[in-house]
Amino acid sequence: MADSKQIVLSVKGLKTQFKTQNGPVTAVDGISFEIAQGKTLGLVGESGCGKSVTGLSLMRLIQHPGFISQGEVYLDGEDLLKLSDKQMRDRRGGKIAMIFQDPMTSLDPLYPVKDPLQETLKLHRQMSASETRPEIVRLMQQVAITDSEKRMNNYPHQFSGGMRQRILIATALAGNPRLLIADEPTTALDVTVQAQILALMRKVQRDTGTALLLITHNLGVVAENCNDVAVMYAGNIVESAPVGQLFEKPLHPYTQGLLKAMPGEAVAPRQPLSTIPGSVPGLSELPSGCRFRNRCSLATEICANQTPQLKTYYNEHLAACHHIQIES
Amino acid sequence: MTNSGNTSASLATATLSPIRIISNRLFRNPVAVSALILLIFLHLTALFAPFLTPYSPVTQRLQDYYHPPTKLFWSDPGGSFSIRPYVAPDIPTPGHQFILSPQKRAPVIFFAHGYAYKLFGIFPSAIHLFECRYPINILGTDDLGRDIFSRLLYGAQISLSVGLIAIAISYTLGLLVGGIAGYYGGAVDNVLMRLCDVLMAVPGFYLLLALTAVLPTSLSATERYTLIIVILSFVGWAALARVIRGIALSTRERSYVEAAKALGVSNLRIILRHILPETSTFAIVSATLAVPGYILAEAALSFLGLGIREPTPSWGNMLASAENLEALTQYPWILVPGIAIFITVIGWNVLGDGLRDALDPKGLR
Repeated sequence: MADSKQIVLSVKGLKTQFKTQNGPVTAVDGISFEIAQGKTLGLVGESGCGKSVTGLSLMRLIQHPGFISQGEVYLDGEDLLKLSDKQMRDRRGGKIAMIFQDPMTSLDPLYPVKDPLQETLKLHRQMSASETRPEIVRLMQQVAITDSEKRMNNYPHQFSGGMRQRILIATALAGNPRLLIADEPTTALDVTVQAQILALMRKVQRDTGTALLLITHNLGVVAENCNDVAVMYAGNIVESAPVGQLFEKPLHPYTQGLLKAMPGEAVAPRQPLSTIPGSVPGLSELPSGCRFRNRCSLATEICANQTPQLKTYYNEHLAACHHIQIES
Repeated sequence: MTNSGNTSASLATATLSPIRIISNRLFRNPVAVSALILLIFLHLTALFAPFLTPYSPVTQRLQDYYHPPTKLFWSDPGGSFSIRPYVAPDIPTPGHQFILSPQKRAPVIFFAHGYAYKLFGIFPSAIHLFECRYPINILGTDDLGRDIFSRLLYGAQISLSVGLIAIAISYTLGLLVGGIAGYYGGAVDNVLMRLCDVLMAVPGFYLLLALTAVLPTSLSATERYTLIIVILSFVGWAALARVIRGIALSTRERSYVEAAKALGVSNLRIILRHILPETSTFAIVSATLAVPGYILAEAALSFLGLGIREPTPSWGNMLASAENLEALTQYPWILVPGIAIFITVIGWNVLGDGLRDALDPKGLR
């Protein structure tokens, strides 16, 4: 990590839509962000805000009726959206890898756990079946699975959820990816196991220097694991900042609401947690102007008429709101 | 699938592959095992037909038409008991009656030389399990004086293999089409499934009749046999493809399929390795249960004279001579191929049932 500014992933104006009977709805509406080598970007937001669709769009795994309508996704300077299907398939699992939400169902129960590892090594590192064995052992040790010589021949049902997630992480790492996308990697796991898996991912990232896009709705996970944060709301990035700054001085009212809603020391015992009123609007019935205005206490007329754009406020701290006051 | 086969009791890591688990369960079912043994026995007799039979299936002894099964004597001409059976010749008589002359009986000779053949089409030989100086027709003869036992075993080669090969072809086709339709969905799915609909909308047996009727009569027996298998498979795959497509539609939503895509695995490989194995339980059981259907279809076609043609024997065209009531009542032994079909069909069905139980994951512990 000599050059911390070496940009691995650069997304510009990515827009992903889904065809419906009432015309297309936009799940991800022109978002842009960058991740540098060895850095972690946390992508946070409520359910349905477009986090996972963003992750899948980067992998170009959006299924019909979804499609990417605009934007550029540069991985090491190469626009992934311009590649042929076959070229993209070569990138998947190699330069760009993904860890899915549910380790319980992401491994085919019919094959031993070494199978996806072996598959990746054969596909992306041109190894023969016999060469893969020591590498599988090494990868499994890297994700702290002991007795890996024996365990690699076990079937998924013989592994706990945490162990399976380790296998999936090892699989994602097998192709030496430049970018790792982790879509809520710990949501399906126990809290204690969550901590282990996240610590493991930090260690692995230190070892390999891969860039990481961590998709989550857990702000605690973001605070501990990320360098930068992007907050998504209804398909837009409403605020993005280095992690410390975002937690100290959240600018956007939505981010502020999210942080207030976290249980912490500031909350008096037996008092209800603060919540953001209302719920996320459906993608086909988005309000005009600022999409958050119906739930925002600061909303005024301008919010209905004009869509706020992302503006830089502090160093690398961007937010999209008409009502941000900065005390300088 | 190698398992580590370790004996360390401390770690519960000893792994049985799914195939081991299933075969263990199958072998604990005595009825299914009997069916399996019976079928293996039947197929072995078909395979070794040239060795097991005393006559070629086309050898005729016209004067001995509808000869009843040869009586075996378990004593030598002197009257003392013998383990080696003896066969007596017929006294030449005018008219169609067979009277034995037991005092002239001759012993059956085992592993004797007879007509020349090639075992499995490769190894030339002339050794037969049994021969005798006098005609020996242990299941009688047919209307042209051909040995029914010999024809039954040679007929088994055709009748049994038709089912197996037709299943192999139609299931390859059905699995691939169903897997592709289900995995890709959308327009691909629509086109392939409408094609299946068209095939299924035509009444199967009439389609078979129509297709076999257009076969030129000049075809050799082998060509005819091959084409009939192809036709049978062609009619049979559509229904399977529909079911496989349904299973594939649900399997492709599994997150391990998405995970495989995220690893850059190609679509065909995902279909073959992750989608189709999910259908294996269904496919194995339904294939087993479908084999008798093909055997019966071949028998039906041959019975009607549209399948395997005389003189090549098949169980179906052997039964064709049993179609008139007079022959049936006076020479009941010509029904033997029907019994063979019956036993085979029951065997396959029982085995299929056993496999279904063995593959049922609800009992998989």
